[in-house]
Amino acid sequence: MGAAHILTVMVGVRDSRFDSVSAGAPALEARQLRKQFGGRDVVNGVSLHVNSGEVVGLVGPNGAGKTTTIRMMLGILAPDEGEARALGGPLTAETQERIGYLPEERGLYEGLKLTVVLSYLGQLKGLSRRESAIRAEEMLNAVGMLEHAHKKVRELSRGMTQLVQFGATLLHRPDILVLDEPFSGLDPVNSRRMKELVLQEKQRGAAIIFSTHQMTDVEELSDRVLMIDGGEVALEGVPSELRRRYRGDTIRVESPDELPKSISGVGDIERSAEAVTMRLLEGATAEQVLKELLDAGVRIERFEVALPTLEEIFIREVLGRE
Amino acid sequence: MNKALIVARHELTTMLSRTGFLVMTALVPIAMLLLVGGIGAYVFFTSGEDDAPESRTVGYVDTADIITGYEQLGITTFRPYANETVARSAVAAGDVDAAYVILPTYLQTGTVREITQSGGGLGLQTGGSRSAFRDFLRANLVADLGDDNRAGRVIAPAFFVTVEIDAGGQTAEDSFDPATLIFFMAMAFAIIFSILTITGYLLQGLNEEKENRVMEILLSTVSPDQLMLGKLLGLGVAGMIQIGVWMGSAVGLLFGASIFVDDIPVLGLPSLPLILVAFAYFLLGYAFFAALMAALGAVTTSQRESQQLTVIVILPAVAPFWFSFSIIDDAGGLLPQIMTYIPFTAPTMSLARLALDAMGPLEIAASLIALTFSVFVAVKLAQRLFRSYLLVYGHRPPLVQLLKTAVTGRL
Repeated sequence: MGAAHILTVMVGVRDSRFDSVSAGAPALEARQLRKQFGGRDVVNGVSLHVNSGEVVGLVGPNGAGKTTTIRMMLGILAPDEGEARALGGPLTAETQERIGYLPEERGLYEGLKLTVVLSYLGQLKGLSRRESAIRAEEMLNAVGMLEHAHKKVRELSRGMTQLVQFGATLLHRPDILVLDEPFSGLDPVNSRRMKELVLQEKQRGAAIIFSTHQMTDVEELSDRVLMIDGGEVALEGVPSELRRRYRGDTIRVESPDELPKSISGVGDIERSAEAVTMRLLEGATAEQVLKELLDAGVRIERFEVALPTLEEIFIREVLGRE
Repeated sequence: MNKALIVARHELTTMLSRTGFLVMTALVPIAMLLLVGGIGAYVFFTSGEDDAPESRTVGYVDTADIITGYEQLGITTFRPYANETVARSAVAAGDVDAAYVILPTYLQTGTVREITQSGGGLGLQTGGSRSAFRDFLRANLVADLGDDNRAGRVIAPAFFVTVEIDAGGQTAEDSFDPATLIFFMAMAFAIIFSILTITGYLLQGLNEEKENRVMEILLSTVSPDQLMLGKLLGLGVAGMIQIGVWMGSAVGLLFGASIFVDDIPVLGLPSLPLILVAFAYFLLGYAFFAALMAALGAVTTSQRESQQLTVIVILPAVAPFWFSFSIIDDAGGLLPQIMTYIPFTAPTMSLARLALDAMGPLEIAASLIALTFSVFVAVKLAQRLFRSYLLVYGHRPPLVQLLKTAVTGRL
């Protein structure tokens, strides 16, 4: 049975439970979370929310406070100030059961069989032993690991273990998915498989937030992106809007002619076989540059104001804050 | 189901499938079987014809008025005495190998007081006399069968209560029931061994969960308190199963052996209240050491590191065994009394002193109360460290910070 077919069977239609996540309330919400370690602010007033059926990408440099924020939102760490809410109310033992969490530093019981591990984790998430056993098989099937069901965890490769862990996260059909660096360490095939599962969960109606360093993952999966730096929210928005917001200072020109070595209002110029990419200085406009090139007799085959990638925006923001 | 119970069930089933635990649980009964078998074989092979006495004289005092005849059975001559004092003198003078006082309640209880010279040990030396006296009793009882008690006594003629006397015919000092001593000392050793084994597994499990990074997944669903409670419950039940198997097989083995060998010291088994007290020490001792191990597991970052630190816990726990000879010599002394109230040594020391009949009810109660208080403090302390350091990987926090967390409950 192909993975895609299994996923379709597994996911089915949108789960009706999500319609009852109280009207308009986010599925997962952080309100002014603050946490200090050793007198140092690690998270400083972070607020964010994730709606049902939405995928939010959480980005930020190492040590920015992403994992601490996630742990507070899950109730693993108690915030010094602020509040984490889930499914329209305060975080409780019941709402915690409705969350699927894949931590960044992850592992499973090495000496136990996959079915035993999954069954245990499923029961901790409120499933009965029988439900848990059935769901364990389904999830192993979904991540292509059913044939290894009776193997011990230590017999699996790292990538295989990661797939099983992801299966464990989805075992109880959570309303909220929190994934900390979910695709790190995966080969392209398994990474693709996991991304498909994430999108299927989104389609089912789950609210999903995932942290990553890979901007391509964010662009591929996220409805919104949120950047944390220095324990604060540095940037938030829809990826396409962010790119448009940051557009305007990068110009890409294709021409059969040699471009002048110096163009007024232009800083860095990168030349390649296909095109020349130039960065505008502050105050300069694309129209001025185009006019100057045309006045200089340069034949223009293509002139575009390029949209920056999220990675470029990310780097610019981080460097700008430093 | 309560999440602590789910954790407990997981811990229990995982423990019961551990090869090390199963081997350890099975090894003790096997060792006991080999020991008893070895002793039996020794007795069998060393009690040949050449060693058998040609004749034996055994005295008796019949206060139950049941002996009607049979002054000679086989090689044994049975000599009546008017009272116990005279019988004691006869034993002291060496006129008889041993004397037996058939108590007035004998028909109801089967109790016979055995008077032997000091140094009789476990009764192996007087085994022939006992065996002969049983035959003597049976013969007399059967001769006058008339009621159920007599019939009962035919089946189980005597339960000996030994009184050792010195050369002057007085009850020897330091007289104690060796069976009770052995049972309690074995129980003390088994309990502390089981506690340390089980809490060692608790520590190992915590280290594994930290090293494998399962801890964070667990804590996203289970509170640290539920996790700790579940682990303590599950592993505690495993410990009780282990102790139950050991004690059950010990009792079963002794009773089984007593069917075939007259001289197995099975008749001095402790009473139910004493067994319950021992059980209370086991539970409290387990809770105390488990809480300490849980705290150690939370603050350490690897199995190697935690194993090094467990010495701090294990050494005081086995301290009573270092002083076992002086404790047997003076179980009511100052050192044993102090150790009865120190939580690290209380379970073992108290059981040893119970074995030596050196603890009164008040002292038992005070010791149990002190241990309960220690358990409360240890659990509170463990909870604080457990909540704060379960997700600390890679480096152990400095001692000052640990103490601060233990006191304030904050990182």
